[in-house]
Amino acid sequence: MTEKTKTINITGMKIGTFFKEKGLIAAFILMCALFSFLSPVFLSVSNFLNIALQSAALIIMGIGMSLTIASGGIDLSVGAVIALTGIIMGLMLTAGFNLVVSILVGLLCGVLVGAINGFIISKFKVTPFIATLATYTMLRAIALIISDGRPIYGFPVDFRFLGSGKLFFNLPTAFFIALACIIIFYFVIEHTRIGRNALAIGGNKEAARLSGINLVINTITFYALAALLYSIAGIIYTARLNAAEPIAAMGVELEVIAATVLGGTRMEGGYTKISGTVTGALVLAVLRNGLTLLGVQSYYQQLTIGVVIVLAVLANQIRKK
Amino acid sequence: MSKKVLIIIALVFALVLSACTPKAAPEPVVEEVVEEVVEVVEEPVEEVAEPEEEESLTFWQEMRADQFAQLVHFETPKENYKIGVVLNTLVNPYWVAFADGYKQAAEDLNVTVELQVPQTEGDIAGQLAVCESMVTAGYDAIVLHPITGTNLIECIIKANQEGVVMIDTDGRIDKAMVDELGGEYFRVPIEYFFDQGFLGASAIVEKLGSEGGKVAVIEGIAGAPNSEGRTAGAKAAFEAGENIDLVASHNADFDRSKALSIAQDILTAHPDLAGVYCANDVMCLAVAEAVDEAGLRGQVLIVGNDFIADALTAINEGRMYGSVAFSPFVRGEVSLRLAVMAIQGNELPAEMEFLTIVVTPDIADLMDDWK
Repeated sequence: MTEKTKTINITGMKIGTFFKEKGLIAAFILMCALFSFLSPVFLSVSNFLNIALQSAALIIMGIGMSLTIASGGIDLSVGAVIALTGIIMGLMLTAGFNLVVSILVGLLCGVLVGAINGFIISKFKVTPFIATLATYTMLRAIALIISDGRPIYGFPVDFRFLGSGKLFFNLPTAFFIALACIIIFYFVIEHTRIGRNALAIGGNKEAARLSGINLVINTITFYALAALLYSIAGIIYTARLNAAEPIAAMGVELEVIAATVLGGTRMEGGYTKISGTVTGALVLAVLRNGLTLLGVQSYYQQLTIGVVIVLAVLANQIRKK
Repeated sequence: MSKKVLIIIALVFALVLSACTPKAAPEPVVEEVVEEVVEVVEEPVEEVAEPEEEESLTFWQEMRADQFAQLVHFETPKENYKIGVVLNTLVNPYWVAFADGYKQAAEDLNVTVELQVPQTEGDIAGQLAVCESMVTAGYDAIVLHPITGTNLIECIIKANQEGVVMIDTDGRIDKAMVDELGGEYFRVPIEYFFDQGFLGASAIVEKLGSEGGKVAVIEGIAGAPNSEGRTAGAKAAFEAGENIDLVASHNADFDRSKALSIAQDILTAHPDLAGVYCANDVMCLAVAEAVDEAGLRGQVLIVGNDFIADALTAINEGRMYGSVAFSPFVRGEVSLRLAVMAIQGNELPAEMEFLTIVVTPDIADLMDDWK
């Protein structure tokens, strides 16, 4: 049974799993059609740029979350990593280091945090929920402490380029960063041993261990890669605001998990689909954007998104049967 | 209750009348209001500090007239402009009153107003996303109330490209940064957070007198300008006080339950606490709960910020000592008028002197119609 499931996950060709994604994509297209009918500006270039910018970070975070959930865990430290990366980059910049070095140190810190998460989870066998919750709390505190609770300015004006600056075809850099992450991690998660190991561990941890997969090294890798992705999202966040805020990305964890689950990733682990996560993130971003264009109050937006998530999960459940 | 409704109806009636007159200068509005109010008010109106008219207005009405008078170049809009507003939240009564002010002004001026908020009071990226979507939606102007000094700057840049007028009617946005990025927006500083905190804490210092005592500050969201400014102001006032000992200063994120826990802990550590300043009333009400629970009502002088309706009730009941008031309703009305002025190209005031006072029990009876 486990073998069969693994084959299905890797090639993704079986009708069952393919259909799931098609359902979500169809729903996405339907939603876009509805919005373009209701709002004359939905299909404008300006709005497309909005959506690209607003979904980029979510997509990148979603990919990281997909990896951790697929491995049978979860990662609640998303927002905290984003805030901390931003703060560290800011501090390094104000200390006089150049932009590239500051960014690299920021990313490195993210990777380190992720590795620590993975280590605590696999070596000390702490439930991922608790372990990452603890990390989240500590990181939020560290970000506030080292920044003294104040936002850090002083990013060179060109730093914006990494967020909304235009790269090719007049599309924002953030869009291309997200695209790069999608391509790279689609390959890593669905076509390399790292991904296979994650799905194996998520599917059946004991069986994976017995078949020779090193739980500790792999778990550390998954969470470190995930945190790397959160850090990259953190760069986009910071660039968009052109300031590092210790309170950045508060509460973003739930939205990321929602995007991942919408995309078909199973909370129990053992299955994920990058294309699904990306579509899930786009669905959420477009929903918010479309509803704001229509002037819908933010609390009704939240209600709508909640309903959408429930419907999507239900649809998945039905198809599973 | 019905008396208040009648007053409000009278005010609206007067405003509608004033909107119909060709040049709506503030003085005629006041006179119309006076006529209607005098007819309708059953109780004698309290003596106001600076009575300008023969028949006295309520304190709130006077303040409101003062604020409108500062909009020297205001012209009634000739078109139905579409104005968007980005607020912080609609969960806090202060922001609700703010939103009501906007809606009232929109009704009076016959323009359309659309109010949007991010998911939570601290969601800075979410607020940016909301703002950007509103820019695309095609408003004539958008009024910005950013959570931090920088999180909506990206939106200003985008708005400049699309030709949407952006206006900051607090003074919160970091102008230096916008200038550096080549962005353009209108700015009318109205709110001075440091002063608010200073005023609030000073009321405590004054009341405690030369004996002084232990005090604490309950802050809002770390890094947010309103919280940081008010905290700095409060600390400055406490430092300047005689025998004042600041024993604690913690963030409660403008959240009721967090403030309650923090207050309980502070009271446990310092049962002789003499005063608390909170960065907003929502938190102060929770502190008042904690004080009541500990049986220390009357010992601890609690001063908040925003002066929401619940705060007035608390002050009248003795659960709170005071609150820093600067009418959110009138701010909303003024902000919308400023936005209209910006769209029409009327000259905006360089800054507004917005009445900010600490409401303590001795003047609480002047504040019945405050909103």
